[in-house]
Amino acid sequence: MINAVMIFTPRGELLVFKVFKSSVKRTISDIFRVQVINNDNIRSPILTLGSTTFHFIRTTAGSKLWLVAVTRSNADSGAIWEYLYKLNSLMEVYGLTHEDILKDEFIVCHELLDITLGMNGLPMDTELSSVIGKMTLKPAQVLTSSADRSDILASSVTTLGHNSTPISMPKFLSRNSNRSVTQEFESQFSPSNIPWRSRDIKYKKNEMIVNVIEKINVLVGKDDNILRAYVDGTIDITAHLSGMPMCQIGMNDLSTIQGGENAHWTNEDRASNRDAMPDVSGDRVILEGSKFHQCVALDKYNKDNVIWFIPPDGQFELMKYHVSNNLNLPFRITPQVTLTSHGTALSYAIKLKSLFPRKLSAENVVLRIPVPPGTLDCKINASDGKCKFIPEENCMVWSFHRFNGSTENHLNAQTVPTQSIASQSIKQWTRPPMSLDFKVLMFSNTGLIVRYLKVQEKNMHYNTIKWIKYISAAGSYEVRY
Amino acid sequence: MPPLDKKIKKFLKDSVRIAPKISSKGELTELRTGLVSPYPQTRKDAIKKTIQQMTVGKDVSSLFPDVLKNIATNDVEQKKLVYLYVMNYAETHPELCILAVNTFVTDSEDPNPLIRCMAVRTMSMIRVDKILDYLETPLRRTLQDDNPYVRKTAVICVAKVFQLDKQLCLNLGVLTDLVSALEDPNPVVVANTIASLTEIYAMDSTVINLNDLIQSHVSKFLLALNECTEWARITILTVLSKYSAKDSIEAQDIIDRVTAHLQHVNPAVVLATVKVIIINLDLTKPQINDPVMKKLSSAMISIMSTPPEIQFIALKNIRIILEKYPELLTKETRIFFVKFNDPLYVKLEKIEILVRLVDASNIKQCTILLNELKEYTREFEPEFVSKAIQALSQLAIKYSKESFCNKVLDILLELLERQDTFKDDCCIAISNLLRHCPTSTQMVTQACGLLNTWVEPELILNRDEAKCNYVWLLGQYPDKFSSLEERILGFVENFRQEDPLTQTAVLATIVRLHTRLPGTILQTILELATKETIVIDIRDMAMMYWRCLSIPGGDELVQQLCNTAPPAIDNILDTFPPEILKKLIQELATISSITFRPQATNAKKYVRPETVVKGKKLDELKNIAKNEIVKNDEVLLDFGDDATEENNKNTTTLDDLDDLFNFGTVLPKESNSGTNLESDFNKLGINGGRQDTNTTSTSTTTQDLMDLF
Repeated sequence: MINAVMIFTPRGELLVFKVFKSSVKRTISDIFRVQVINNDNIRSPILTLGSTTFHFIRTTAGSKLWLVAVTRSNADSGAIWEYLYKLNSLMEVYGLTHEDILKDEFIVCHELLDITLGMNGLPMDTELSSVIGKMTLKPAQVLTSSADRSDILASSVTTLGHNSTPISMPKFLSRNSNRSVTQEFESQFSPSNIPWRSRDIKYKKNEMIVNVIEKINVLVGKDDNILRAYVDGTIDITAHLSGMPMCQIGMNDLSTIQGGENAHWTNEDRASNRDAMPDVSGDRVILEGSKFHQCVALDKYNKDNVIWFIPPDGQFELMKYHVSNNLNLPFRITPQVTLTSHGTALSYAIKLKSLFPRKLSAENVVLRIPVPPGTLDCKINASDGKCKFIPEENCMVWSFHRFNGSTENHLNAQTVPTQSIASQSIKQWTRPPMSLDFKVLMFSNTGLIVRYLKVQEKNMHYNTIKWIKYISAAGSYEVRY
Repeated sequence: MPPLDKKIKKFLKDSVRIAPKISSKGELTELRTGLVSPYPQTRKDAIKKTIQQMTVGKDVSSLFPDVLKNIATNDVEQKKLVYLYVMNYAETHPELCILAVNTFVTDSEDPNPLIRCMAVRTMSMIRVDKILDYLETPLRRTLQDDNPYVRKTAVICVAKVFQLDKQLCLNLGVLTDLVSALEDPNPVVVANTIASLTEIYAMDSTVINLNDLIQSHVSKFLLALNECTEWARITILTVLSKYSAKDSIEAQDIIDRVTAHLQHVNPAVVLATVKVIIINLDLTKPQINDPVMKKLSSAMISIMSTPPEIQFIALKNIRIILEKYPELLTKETRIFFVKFNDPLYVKLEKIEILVRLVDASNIKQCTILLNELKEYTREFEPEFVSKAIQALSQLAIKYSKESFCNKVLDILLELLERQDTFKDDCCIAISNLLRHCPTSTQMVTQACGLLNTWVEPELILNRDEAKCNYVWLLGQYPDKFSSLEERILGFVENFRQEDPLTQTAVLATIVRLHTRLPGTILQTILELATKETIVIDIRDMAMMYWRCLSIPGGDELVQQLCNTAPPAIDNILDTFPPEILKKLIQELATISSITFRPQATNAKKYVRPETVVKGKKLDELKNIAKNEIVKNDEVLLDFGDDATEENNKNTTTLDDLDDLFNFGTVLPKESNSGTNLESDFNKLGINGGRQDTNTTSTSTTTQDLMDLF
C-alpha cells in the first residue's frame, strides 16, 4: 500500500527516506519538494501526479516536520493518514520532534518504520506498548499515547505521576465479581490470541489510572443562540497490571444508537418512561458514536452494553465518545461590541461568567478578542485577570490564572485606530469569532461519571489501586458578535 | 591473572570508543577503519555512521564486505543495524548480497524470532535468481514457524518472491502453502495472507482464483475480525468489501457481524466498515429508521472529531454515500458547520455536504443553514466565500419557495453592495435564482437594478461563466437595463478575447435583441462570429442565424428561436452518473473516492518489471561484486560530483518521469499510450493544469525536464 515514507524538515530537507516497495526512487523526494513544500498555494493534504500519490501531514509537536507517504496504487487513504498520525505520536514518544534530534537519532526512526510498516507497505502494529516491546531502545519517558492530544492535556496528564494524589477517591473499589460473565468472556478471548498484550507482565504494585478528558466545542451566534455545542470525550487509561487482567468499566451512560429494549438493560422502569422524557433520562448521559480501543470486545458491547477489555500495558485511549445533548456549559460569554460615535473605533463590553460549582476553579482561562486591523492600541478596563493588546495578532488577550466557579467578570475596552482608517473598512471587517480556552479539573461537561471499574486476574489475585481524574477543556469555544 | 582482572580488561576493551580521526583520505577510509576495529563499541559506532551516510543518500556500497563482517554477532541491536544496511542494498546492489547468503540461511534458524524475520525478509528482497534457490528451505520453514510473527512475515515474503520470479514461485509451489495459511489459527497471519494473495492477484490474475478463495473463507474472515490488530482488521474488511453476498440473509449477517467495528477508535477501520455495510445494504434494502442507518450516521459524525486530513476523506466519502442514501445524516447538519480554524479544504467540503444534507421540506433547518451561509460570506478566504455564495443559490433552489429565494437574493445584493470582490460568483448565483423563479417580477427588478449600476461589466467580471450569465440577463430582461446598446457594444468590442461561453451568449443575445439595436451591431457580430472565432459551434450557430435572418419571414423564425423559455432549473447540485456512483461506492476510502474519479476497470496492471540478475553462476557474481567494490572505492563519496555523468543523469531523470507517469514501458507504441495517457489524466484530481505541462514535456527534450524539476 505505502511504497515509501519520507520525512522532511519544514524547509524541505529530506531527513528520512525509506522504501517499502520497490519502484520508487529517491528522486521522488525532489518532486514532492518542488510541488508541495516550495509551493505556497498548496490547498489539499493529498497530491496525485500521474499514478503517484503523496499523502502528507505536519507533525504536531516540535518543529513542524513533513511526514509523507508515497503510494503508487489506489490505496486506502484513510488508513494512510491514520498511519501517519500514529507514526507522529510514536515519534513524539521517542522524542523525535525536532529535525536535529531526528538527524542524530535517525536509526530509531528507521526502526520505528520497520516495526510499524510491513515490507508490503501495510501498517502492522502501531500500539505503543507492543512497539516499545519490539524496539531495541526504550523511550526516555512514556507519555500519553493518545494520537490527538493537545498540549494542555498532555501537560496535565504527565503531571499525574504514579504517586500524585488525585482530587477525589473513587468509590468503585467493589470486589464482588460476576464469575459467569468472566468465563464467557474468556472463552471468546483466549489469551494466546491477544496481539496487544504480552503474557508475562508483572508489577509489584498494581495500578490503574483513568482520565476522563472532555473537550467542549461551542459556537454561539450573534443573537446569543447556541448554534453548535458538543463534547468530544476520551477516556485514557494507564494500566500497570500484572498478568492477563480482565477489566470492566461502567458509566452512567445510555447509548442512543443501541435503540430498542436492550439499551436499558439495567433499568426496565426507566426504559418505559424514556419516551415520555426523551433527553432527560435521569442522571444518565447519552453517548453518541462511542469508539473503542481495539482491546474492547465490541460484540460484547453491542450485545449487552458492557465494556470488557484486556488492557494493553501502559497508557492507551480506551474510548472516545461524542455528546451533544444536555451539556453543562462551563462558561457563558456575553459580548457587546458597538461602533463608537466617530465610526472608526469599536467599544467592547464583555461579560464572562463561570457556571460550574463554586468549589471548583478553572485554570488557564484565556479569552482572545479580535480587534479590527489598523488598531494602534486598546483602552482596557478589566474587573479581574490580565488583559493585553497584542498588535501582531490583532487581538486582545484576556487571561486568568485561576477562575473560580460561579463568578462573573467584566471587561470594557475601546480600540484606538490609526488616523487613516476609514469607517467603511471597520464596517466591512469580517469579525472573526472570539475564542475561549480553559481547563477545569474534576468537572464533567456531560455529567458522565465512571460508576465502577473491576479488574480481575484469575491466576493472581491482587488488589488494584485505581485513580480517576476528570478534565474539561475547551476544544473550539467560539462566540460571534 | 585473577579472573576479575580479566573481566575488567574485557569490559574496558568492549567499551573503548575511538574517536574518528580527521584524515585526508576521505570519510570512507575512516569508516572502514572503524568497521574493522578490534573494539566492538567502535565497530558499532562505525556501522551507525555508515548507515547515517546511507540515509542521506551517499553511496557507501563499497563498505559492504566490511559491514557484513559484523553480522556475526550476539548483539541484537548491531545485527539489526547490519540488516538495515544490507536491506538497503538488497534492492539496488543485489550481487553484493550474495556475499552474505550463508549468513542469511543460518540466521533464518536463529532462536530469536526477530532475527529469523529479518533474514527471510532480506533474502526475499535480493533480486538475484541464484539466491532464490537458497531461499526455498528458509521460506518453507518460516511459513511453518511456531511464532506467528515469523509466519506473518514469511507470508508477505511469498508475494515479494512472486514479484521477483513468478516461475520459480510456481515451481516451488509456495502458493499452495500460502493458500493453506488462510487456515492459520492466528488472525493476523490470516489477514496478511489475504493481503499477499490480493497483491499476487493484482500482478497475475491467472495463478490464483482470488474470488473463490474469498468466497470460501468469508466466515473465517468474519471470525478473525474480532481478534486481530486494527490494521489487520482494515485488510480483512477491505477483502470483505470485494465479496458479494449471495442473498439478503447473508448480507444481513455480514452487516450484523461487522457493525460493531463502526465503534472502533481507528477512523480507517470505521471507514472500511462503512464501506462493507454500504455495499451489503444494496441487498438488504433497509428502511431509513433501521438501527444500522443510525449507527452509520453516528459513526460518520464521530469521524468529524479526528484530524483534518481524515475529516477530509470522510467528508468526501459522505458526499458519495449521500447520493445513494440522501436521508442518512439529515438530522445532523449542525455537526458540519464550519469551524473558524478548519483548514480550507475541510471548509469547502463541509459546505458541499451541508447543502446536500439539508432537508428541503424543513423550513427551520433551511433557515438555520441560510443564516450560517450568510455568516460564511463575511469570511476572508476568497475560495470559501465563493463556495458559500454558490451554496446559497443551491440552497434556495433546493428549498424552491419563492420567498426563500427572495431572502437569498437580498443577501447576495447586500454582499454586492458591501464588497467589490465576488461579483462573478454573485452574478452566476443571481442568474440561477432568476432562472428558478422566472415569474417573480420583484426579484428581477431588484437584481437588475443593482447589476444595472455596473459600468463596463465586461471588465468588472472575470470568469467566462459570469460574463455569459450577465449577457444572458441582458437578453432576458432588456427593459431593466439602461443604455443597453453601450453595454452590449462593450462585449462586442472584446469579442475576440472572450471564451466560448461568453461568445455564444453575446451572439445569441444580439440576435435576440436585433430589433432594438442598430443594425450595424448585428452585422458586426455575425461577421465576427463567423470569421474570428475558432470554435466551430459558435461559427455554425452564427451561420444559422445569418441564414434565418436573410430568408423572407426570417425575423419571425428568429423571434421564435430566441424567445422560447428555457426550462426552469430545479437543482444545481452536481451529481454522479449512476455507473460512476456504483464504482465510487466500491472504492470508498481509497484515493479515487477523494478525486471522485473511479479507477478505470480495464486500467493496465502496471507491475514494474524487476530486473533480476539471471543466468550467472555464484562465483561470477562474487567477482562482479568484488569488482564493483573496487571500482566504487575510487569514486569515494562524491555524490555531488556528477558533471562527468551528465548524460547518464539526463536519462535517469527521464526514467524518473516515466516512473511517475507510468507509461514508460508503452511509450514506443504511440497509439497505445494515448489511451493510457487519458486514463492517467483521469486520475489527476487536484491539479490537472500543472499535469498538462509535465506530460507534454515528456515528449520534448530532456533538458526541459531538467528545468522543470
